[in-house]
Amino acid sequence: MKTLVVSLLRMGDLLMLAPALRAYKREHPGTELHLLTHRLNQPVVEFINVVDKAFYLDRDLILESHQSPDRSAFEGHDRLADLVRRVNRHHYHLAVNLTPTMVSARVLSLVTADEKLGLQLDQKDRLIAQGAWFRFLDRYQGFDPRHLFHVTDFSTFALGLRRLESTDLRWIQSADATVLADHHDRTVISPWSSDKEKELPEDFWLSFIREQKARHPERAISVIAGPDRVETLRSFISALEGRRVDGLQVDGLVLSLSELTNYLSRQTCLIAVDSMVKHLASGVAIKIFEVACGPSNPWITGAYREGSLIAKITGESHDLPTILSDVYNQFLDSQWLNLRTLASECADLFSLSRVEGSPSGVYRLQPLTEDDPVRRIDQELSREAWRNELSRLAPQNQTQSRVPEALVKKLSDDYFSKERALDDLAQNLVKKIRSGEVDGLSGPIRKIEQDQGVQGLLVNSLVHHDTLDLYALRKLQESVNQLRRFQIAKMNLLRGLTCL
Amino acid sequence: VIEWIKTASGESTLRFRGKFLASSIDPVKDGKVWASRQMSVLQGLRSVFVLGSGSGHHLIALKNLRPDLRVLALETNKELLEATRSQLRVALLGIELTYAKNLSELLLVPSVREALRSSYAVVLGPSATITDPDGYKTMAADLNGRTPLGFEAIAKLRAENAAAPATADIDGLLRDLTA
Repeated sequence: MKTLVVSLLRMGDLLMLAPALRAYKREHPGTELHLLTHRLNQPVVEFINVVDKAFYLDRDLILESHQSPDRSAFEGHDRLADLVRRVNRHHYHLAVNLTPTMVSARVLSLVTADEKLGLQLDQKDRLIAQGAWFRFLDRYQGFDPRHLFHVTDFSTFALGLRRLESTDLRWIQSADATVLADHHDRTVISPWSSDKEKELPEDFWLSFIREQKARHPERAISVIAGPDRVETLRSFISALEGRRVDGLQVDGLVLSLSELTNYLSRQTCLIAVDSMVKHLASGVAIKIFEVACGPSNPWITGAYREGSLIAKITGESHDLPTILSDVYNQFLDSQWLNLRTLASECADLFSLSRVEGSPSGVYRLQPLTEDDPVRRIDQELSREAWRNELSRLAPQNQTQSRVPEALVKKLSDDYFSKERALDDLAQNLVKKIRSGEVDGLSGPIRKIEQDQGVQGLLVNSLVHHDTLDLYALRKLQESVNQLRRFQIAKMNLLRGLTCL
Repeated sequence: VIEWIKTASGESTLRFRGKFLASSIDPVKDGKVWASRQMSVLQGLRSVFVLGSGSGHHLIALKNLRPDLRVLALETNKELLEATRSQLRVALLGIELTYAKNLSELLLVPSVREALRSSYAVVLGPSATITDPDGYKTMAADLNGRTPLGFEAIAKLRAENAAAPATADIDGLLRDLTA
């Protein structure tokens, strides 16, 4: 048996996928696991050391050949055809696309496999979601960030796994104790990301370090960078020296993946933006304080390590380095009540959340300002309700349910019978319109829209399927989500009555 | 006009109209340096067209670095081609030598047609700029499909290849990837 996983994102995404891949290998010991990813990710593939075979898409070579007049106009085509040919030499019982892009959807469409899961293209070149889990996400994933899944959890469910074990999450073993053995118990700062929009200005970090040193001169600090950021690090260190802070001694280190792993496992805490370093740190024993900026979404790509603190920057202020330095100090001392106060006072500058594991085994981000017991129970129930629905939709994801089966079934039937009736209605309307019976239909459709809200929208969308635009689709999804929230609320209530 | 000259390293090199086609000191080393520079472009490809057969040292070095690569040396000068052919190692390594003046003549050669149907690169050999710069420039553009004539001829050849994955699907992927 062979399984192919397609992941065409960046190095950090591949690191987030690693726990799920390890769990998959553990659950399917007789299955060969193959991976198709970008050539740039090769060092990470070798580092995570879990796949039996890797195929690489040479995007840079293809782009170069495409643009250069000195290269064959057919080279890009040939390289892709060759890749597809090499992949299809294997007989896959399962191929899973974990990337929500057009390119990966096309790749999955070109791969031969008994079963395919994830986004791919149909014969008319339209994107379709294959598999219960992906259809579930496609239909019900809301725009409320709390209803999104972390990339690691998303991948876990996509591979048909129930949950991750703690050993899957702490997957990195520190190997060589000799690397930088004289550096330990430090605060490590990783200010750079492959996406510049996720970074903070250099001035922020210079002030932050100065603030740290002023208050805690005994604390050793290292600033780290990957081999591609040597110059940036050099200029940062010289800018820091230019500030002439008393007793300031900060090391700048350029490390490979394995060196970094060994290094991080011996330090006190990592302060990082949303980057590969942070994802790597999630797999080793170190505290993490993540400073999420710009497009970083901690609900999806936050530090997957219980007890981590994530500050999502939402405003600007000259005092930000000082305040976040204070946040860091409170975090190191585990002063969560103080952090809660800071989060409330500075809500216009940032939000603070703690990473928590949920009883369901999925990543959960707990905003500190919403840390009251009633709300937490409510959220827990909400998560459990999602899990129930998931296990019903994807039989391979069966989970232990604490909600009586009959109750869940009744609620689901109630909801889905409405949906089925609506589908029937819509199908009839579509048939009529396609057979030319258009006259007199607009009135009833409008009436359905007005009278039935969500159902009306669904009908409208199905009827005008060919011209459905993104806005209409979003509106539709939001409406469906409204309905789901109602359903979840009912389930929560019933759970409260029967289980608590 | 064409003569073999013994160099300081002990290897012979070609002199064409008074100009050396490879290093006059160490043509073997010269060939190795040239070949290693081509490696990044040739990564993952099946064939390479080397324009200008020269003294052949660069072809031997290329084949030694990538034994799996099909090396087709194209030469627009018959006498030069024969001189290269006299290098025993060129023949032993399976390097294919072809004489042709232009694309039309090249398309009559079965091995060239076959190579054009698979993945390939076109590189200028060290002698190309000395022996026939304009001729090789045109030939490279044609073989790369960067002229209307070249593109049409190669696309037609490839359409005959029924074993290739669905062209439209691969083109779609290429379009998305380069967008």
